[in-house]
Amino acid sequence: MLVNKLKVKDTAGILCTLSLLIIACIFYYDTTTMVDSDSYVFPRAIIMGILLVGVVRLGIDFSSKQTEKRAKISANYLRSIMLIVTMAIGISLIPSLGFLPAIMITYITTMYLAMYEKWTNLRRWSYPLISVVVVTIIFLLFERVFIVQFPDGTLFY
Amino acid sequence: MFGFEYLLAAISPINLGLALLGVIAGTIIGALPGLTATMAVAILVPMTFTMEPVTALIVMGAVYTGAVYGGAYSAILLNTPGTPSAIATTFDGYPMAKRGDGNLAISIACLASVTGGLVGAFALLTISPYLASVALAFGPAEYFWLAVLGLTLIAALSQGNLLKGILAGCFGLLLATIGVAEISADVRFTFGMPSLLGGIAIIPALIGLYCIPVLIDLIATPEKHLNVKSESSGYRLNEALISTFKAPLNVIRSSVIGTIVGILPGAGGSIASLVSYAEARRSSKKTETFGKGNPEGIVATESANNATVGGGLVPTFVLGIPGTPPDAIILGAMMIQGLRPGPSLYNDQPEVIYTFVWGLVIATLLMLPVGLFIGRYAYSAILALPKAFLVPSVVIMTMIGAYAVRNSVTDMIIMLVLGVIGWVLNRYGYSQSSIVLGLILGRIAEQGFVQTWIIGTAKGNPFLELVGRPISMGIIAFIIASFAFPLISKWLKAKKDKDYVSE
Repeated sequence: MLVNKLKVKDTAGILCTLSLLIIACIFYYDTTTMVDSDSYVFPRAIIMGILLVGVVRLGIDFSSKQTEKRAKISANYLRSIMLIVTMAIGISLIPSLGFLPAIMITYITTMYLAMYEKWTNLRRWSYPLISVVVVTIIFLLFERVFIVQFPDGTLFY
Repeated sequence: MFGFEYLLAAISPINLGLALLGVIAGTIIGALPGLTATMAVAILVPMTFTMEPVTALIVMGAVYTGAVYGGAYSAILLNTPGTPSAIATTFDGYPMAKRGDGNLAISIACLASVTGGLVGAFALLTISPYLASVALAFGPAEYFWLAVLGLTLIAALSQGNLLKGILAGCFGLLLATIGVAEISADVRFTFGMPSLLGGIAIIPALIGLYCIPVLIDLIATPEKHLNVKSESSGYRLNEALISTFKAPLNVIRSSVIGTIVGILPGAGGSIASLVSYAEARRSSKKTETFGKGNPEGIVATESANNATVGGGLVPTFVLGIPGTPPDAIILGAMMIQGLRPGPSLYNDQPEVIYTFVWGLVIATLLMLPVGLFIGRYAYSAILALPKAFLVPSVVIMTMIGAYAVRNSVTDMIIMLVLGVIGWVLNRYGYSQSSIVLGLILGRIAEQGFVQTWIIGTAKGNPFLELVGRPISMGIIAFIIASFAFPLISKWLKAKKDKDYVSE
């Protein structure tokens, strides 16, 4: 079973609330430079809402002795972190390599990350080959049929 | 009145064949995250120049209605709404798919979409001129309160964590204010980044907030993406029929909400489906099962969003004001074809309008076999695909989908950042659906609020302008009643139980 129920204090929830409060303060600071009241009246109302509800939430969290049941997940999040890093690198490569090579690299790397089955000889050569075909088909579908303009890489010009 | 004589023209082989192709294409496009109904209809416009006006309209209507339904596939199977109008379909559709009822959820979505689409089309056929006056009666204050009505859904989405839900909703509202202000044109919250001038686009935000958390969890474990009930294969049409129509009031109410919201220019399928979902949940006897895979939730959202297709065409035809973005494209195509929208359109060119509306009815009916067939194979494909291909395929679809909306790499970055934020917040009790709700309704709420304030200030009483108009008062009363009714019934039930125990 993936999830084990444990009793822990909602520290992460408190940190999330604090982060939202900080974001609200930063946004409020930005409204002080606005001259037109039409620009700041609505955002300020929302910011006040965040500050008010956030403070109440923190008050409850700190004063309450109750602990919250949280699901402890026993999954391997290293792969998840690698996935996000891969996507970030893939996106950052687009301006230099172009869209197709960047998503090709992202696809193949992600395929290796998501591989939980045993690598057989057949899979070792067929999976990357299928990946190249799949990415090319999807790319051509969007470029030719849905007329999406993809960027070319500056590296090749 | 119904233009029955034009039904035969609508089912001519060419119209029928193109409507079928349109529904298939629309359904596939709608299912791909990032490709919206607007884009589907826009791609088609150049191809319709050489067609007869009525055939061109039928094809566009078929693509539009198919695309709105197609959004349900990815919402149910991947927790990623294919189109913004399928956001609320994820709430119950994905939990159903997770527990092995994905095929049932797709069949329910199809039946509900067809029903909603037919209600919207019949409204367009019969009471268009009367309904068009509703669109004119809605001013900025009414739009503001309509957005507030949609925001009340936060209470439902954050069960047991209302404060966290409100915080997440406010965060979404704040995100909606990033970019150039619509009324004053001030640059807000871009922090010196020109790429944020256009604000946060809905589609990349949706893909990020819904799809990235699924991918993060999916890649972390070797377990299968969706469970399968071995005894429940195929379309499960009988079960779907029972689930869809066992609460007929839900289907009718949601379809009517969809039609009316569709009539309101700028509101669209996402608001219609969210409002319908909220109402379905409030009026259901099984409130606690919503968000955990209750078919009534899918019925409400899918019937409402497809009803907006017919509803949105009402002001397009009668007033020349498009109800939704795809309607704006259809309006443009109509004008290219030499049709002049206006109150006299039904009298001046009945052969075009009535044939088109009957064509839309036919296209909606064609959605039943097409939707069930494509849905079955989409479900099987998701189940059969090894994780090593499913994850990277979804990853590049999210990247392309986020990019394709505005041809912007920045949108891909926004998608990724919001995805990670959404995963973290969701893990600690801040529902990402509340953020999305705020993001979508924020712009409408702000525009309505500020415009009302300006009008009210000019008249000398902004508060009265905000709450004093009859429709506004009606919506406010409805919001209060929606909140009060569950509380009162809970109190009455508790009192009854207490009396019973003391006896």
